[in-house]
Amino acid sequence: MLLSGLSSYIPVLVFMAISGAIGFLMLLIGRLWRPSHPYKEKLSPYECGIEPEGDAWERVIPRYYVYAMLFLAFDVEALFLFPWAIVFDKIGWFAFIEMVLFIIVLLIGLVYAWAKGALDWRY
Amino acid sequence: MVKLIFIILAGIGVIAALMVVSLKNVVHSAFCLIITLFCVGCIFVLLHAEFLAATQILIYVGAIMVLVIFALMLIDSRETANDRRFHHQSQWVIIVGVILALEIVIFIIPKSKFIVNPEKMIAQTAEAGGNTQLLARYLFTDYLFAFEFASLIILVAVVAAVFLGKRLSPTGKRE
Amino acid sequence: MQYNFVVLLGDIKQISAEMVIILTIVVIMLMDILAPRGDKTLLAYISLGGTLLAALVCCTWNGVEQSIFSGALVVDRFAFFFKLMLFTITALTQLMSINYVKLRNINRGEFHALVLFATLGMLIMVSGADLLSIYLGLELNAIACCVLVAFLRQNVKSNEAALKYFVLSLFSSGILLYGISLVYGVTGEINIYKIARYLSGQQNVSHPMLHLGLVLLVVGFGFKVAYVPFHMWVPDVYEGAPISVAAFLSLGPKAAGFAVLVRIVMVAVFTLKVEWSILFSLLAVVTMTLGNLTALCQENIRRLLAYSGIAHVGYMLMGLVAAANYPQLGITSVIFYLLCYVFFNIGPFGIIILLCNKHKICEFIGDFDGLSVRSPLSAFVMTIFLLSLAGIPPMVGFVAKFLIFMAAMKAELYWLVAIGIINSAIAMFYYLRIVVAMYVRAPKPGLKINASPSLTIALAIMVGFTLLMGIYPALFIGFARYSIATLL
Repeated sequence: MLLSGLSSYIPVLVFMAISGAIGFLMLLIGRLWRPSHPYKEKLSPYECGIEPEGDAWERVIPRYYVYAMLFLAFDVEALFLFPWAIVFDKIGWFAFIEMVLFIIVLLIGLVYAWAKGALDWRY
Repeated sequence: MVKLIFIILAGIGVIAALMVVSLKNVVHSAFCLIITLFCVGCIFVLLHAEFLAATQILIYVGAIMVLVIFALMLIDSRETANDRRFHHQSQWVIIVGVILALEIVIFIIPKSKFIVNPEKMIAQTAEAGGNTQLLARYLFTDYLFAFEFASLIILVAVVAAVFLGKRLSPTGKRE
Repeated sequence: MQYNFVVLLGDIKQISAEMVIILTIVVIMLMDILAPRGDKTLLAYISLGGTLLAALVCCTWNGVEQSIFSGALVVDRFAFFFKLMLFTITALTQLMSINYVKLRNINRGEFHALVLFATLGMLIMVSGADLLSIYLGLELNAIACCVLVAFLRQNVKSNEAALKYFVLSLFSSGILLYGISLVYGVTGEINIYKIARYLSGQQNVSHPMLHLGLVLLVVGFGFKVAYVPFHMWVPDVYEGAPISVAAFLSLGPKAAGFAVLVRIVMVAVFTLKVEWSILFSLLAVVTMTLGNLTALCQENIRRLLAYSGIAHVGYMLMGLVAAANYPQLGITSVIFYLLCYVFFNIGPFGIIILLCNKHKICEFIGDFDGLSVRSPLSAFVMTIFLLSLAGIPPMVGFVAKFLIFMAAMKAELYWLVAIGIINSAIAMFYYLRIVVAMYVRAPKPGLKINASPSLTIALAIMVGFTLLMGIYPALFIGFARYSIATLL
């Protein structure tokens, strides 16, 4: 049946269930046990007394976006390494050279991003 | 059993997807999108496409969602919260979309048969050492060109991101 | 299949032209990094040199047709024809850009690299033999073009155009992928030739899912080729993009898209010719009529060229419809049309660049008033391009249109020919309007010609070929016929 191979995922499910339950229980127990006396000063973000200016949800500079984009590009690259690692012993040098070419092309991208200053943090 | 799991996952996925487009707060929409993508990943597992499931989690739930959240940080969500969610043409879009969807469900799917036989394919891939194994072998031999070419697409994406993300100084000159 | 280094090297040798392009890109990017502050004009010349070298390498092809990389790509006459055409388009774009990018202050290494990236994507599209490599080529082209459209970063219109182009190309590639997946689900193959073999072996190919897949493929490529319901981005992009990029977009993706469409409908799903010929005949009618009627009321020449380009796609689709019954004649007429279209459609963009300076772009018809007094030569050249676009007899545009109409007549599509002729008559009006503005109206003050050697060379090549093809079309028609002989 189609379900045959799926039984190996039961530990994953159990793992997810337990980790979810731990998180939920911690919050729940804390809520039940803790004393609750909120007042205005206590609720402000900085208890040291600095008045926060504006909302926390501010617009940020697009530079973050470039980082995320670069992360995505190299994440895709990393993803291809998994299947490569699986068949490396079967295909051998051929696969090795393919991967080297693949990484060289991406290295050009990295060098480019580096040299253009996309990795420096400047305002 | 598999059908039941599928219906649960697909149901959660579709409901979350509807919430993505209808919620007022864009950040909540983004989190619903995570649920949708995760359900799709689980459905890939049900289909015995383990590598695809891993891709879905790593790339979509991981990297793409980071990208989406950063994109949301670029806009002012307080402004957008009061915007109208839908265009005034939305009712027409819904009518046409429902008609098209019904057409596919009633007329096209019952008369069609995919030649791919899932049970046979699962047996075959299991014999070859699993889905990922087989996929990898194809990727690095028969589909070698597509694999190498993908690196060029990633390269151009890096160039595009770096170029378009560069700050312009107030005078308009690039730093 | 066992794959080894010997086979791999043999395959790489077959795509040496593409390898030249890739190496040029790498050289440009590295030089751009090494000299960050310097003048980038050298990079423009390197990219032009790379294109010409690649074209030269491409010409050394020995004529042996084979599929390479386990059927991912195919080297054949059809791909050869389109590769030469794409190299021509790219070289003309680069020639036109050299001075223009300096003028608009966008002379950057990325520009020259991205033009080559876009070309590389199209080269893979035209020689792609499986839907996966075609998709990858399309995607590379789309990303590169999108950045090129956004290159004028201070310009609101450029940004708006890039956003529209980006969103629509994302949607179209999503639709395309869905279509590919349905075709794969029904036939079990993604290789065009294997799909054809599978379908020809079937008793009943009338499979609703396959029809849906085909329609989605036609929609997906529709955004690239720009026929009517999917043409929305064209005018805004032509208006907002840097002019040389608009010239590039007006031909490159269109030619590559047509090459892919021809390969898919003529090879992969030729058994469904009744279905797709009906689809394309409807698209052709809507496309040329809407394109021409909207072009009538345009004041901006770039928008006018956009709508006229849409109308021309309508004529080409007519040839594709005719190809369902007369493959040789129909496809010859389509690709001959594309070939001559390269020269007389990029031409007017060259003239717009010729007239623009640092502060002003002459893009309205009113700006062309009295050009014949200011600069008789450029007015004359523009007239040649416009008469060719209108399809007036001694010009090559007439020959190309005549071939298309002849193919349609032979396929007994009289109603389509009638609509086509009415449309050509309408089109005459708005092309001649510009000619009248240049020759009859009084000259406007401040109209200055800003000629540079590279632009002059590009214009000379385009005028030369437009005239040559008009005088001696048989040579080029013969080349078109030769290049499709083995495809059908």
